[in-house]
Amino acid sequence: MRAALIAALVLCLVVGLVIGNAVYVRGTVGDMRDMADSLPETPGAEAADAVSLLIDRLDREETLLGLSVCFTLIDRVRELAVSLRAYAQDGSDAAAYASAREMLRAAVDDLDRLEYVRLRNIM
Amino acid sequence: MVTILVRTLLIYLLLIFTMRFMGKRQLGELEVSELVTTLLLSEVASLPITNQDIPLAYALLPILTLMALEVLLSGLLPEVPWLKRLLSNRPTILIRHGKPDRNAMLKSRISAEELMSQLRLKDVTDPAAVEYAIAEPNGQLSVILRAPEQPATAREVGADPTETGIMHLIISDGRINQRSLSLAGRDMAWLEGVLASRSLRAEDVFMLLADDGGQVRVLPGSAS
Repeated sequence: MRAALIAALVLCLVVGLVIGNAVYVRGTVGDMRDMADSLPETPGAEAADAVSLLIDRLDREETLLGLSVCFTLIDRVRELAVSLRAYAQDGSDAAAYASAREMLRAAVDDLDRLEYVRLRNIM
Repeated sequence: MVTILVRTLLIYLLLIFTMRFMGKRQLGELEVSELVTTLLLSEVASLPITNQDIPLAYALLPILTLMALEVLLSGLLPEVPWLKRLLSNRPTILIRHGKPDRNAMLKSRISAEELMSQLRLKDVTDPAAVEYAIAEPNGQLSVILRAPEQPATAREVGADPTETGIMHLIISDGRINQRSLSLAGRDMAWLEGVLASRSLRAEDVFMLLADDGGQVRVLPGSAS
């Protein structure tokens, strides 16, 4: 009986941790999504600064995010952000900048994919 | 590489704790849910050891969840009969009064050859000698022999043997096991007396066994 009670407690703790983590990840990734969505349409110094802010945010949250998000996903976002910043600083290739920005947005979306209960995710 | 080592240690300790908490049932013959849990645990545990891109939580969470579910389920099954019927296999009588039940064997997908093999493993060569052979939920075959085939008991032959209980391992490799000592109903004074009568110290003893009937066996540590 005692073991069953402890097991029930552990289960509640696990569920609580999962919910808490989901709230945190969704919130953090939501902020980063907003930052990615508000990136300037054209390359330049302003765009480079905005991307740098996104990278800084990612660096700050990486430890906690890394507890439940695969390193490959986090690294992909960072690589795309660094690449986007390079395009922004260069400023000469607007098409490449736009393409990299879209890829970054898609990569940020992937960060919290597993925190939503969707049939697509489960399958 | 350091990360791999730390993850391995963490997961290993967690699995030990998990199996310990789930109890002896996991180590012995398994019911369906227990088999599923054990298989899943081993698969899940190896994931973050072999793939460093996977967060440790991807193993910790499932392990804790499986452990908690398994213990909860095993606690619920005796209280909820329909759940037990749903999740556990029922014992099936394969031989009744010396006659194999063909329908039961077909239902259990046990062939005649397999049945004979299982009987031989129980030192039975003739199904006619079996009163009941039951396929248990854990897959083992229980064999109850017909009365004339059963070994005679002490009572049946009129003997009155002394109850000896079990042999308790009091000293193992020179170390005294206090728990076994108290289970044997003895104390340190008794043990010191036994060792003194044989001119031995505890550290010199490989094995010291004592049963409930008072019999003592001592195996010294040195080869003599």
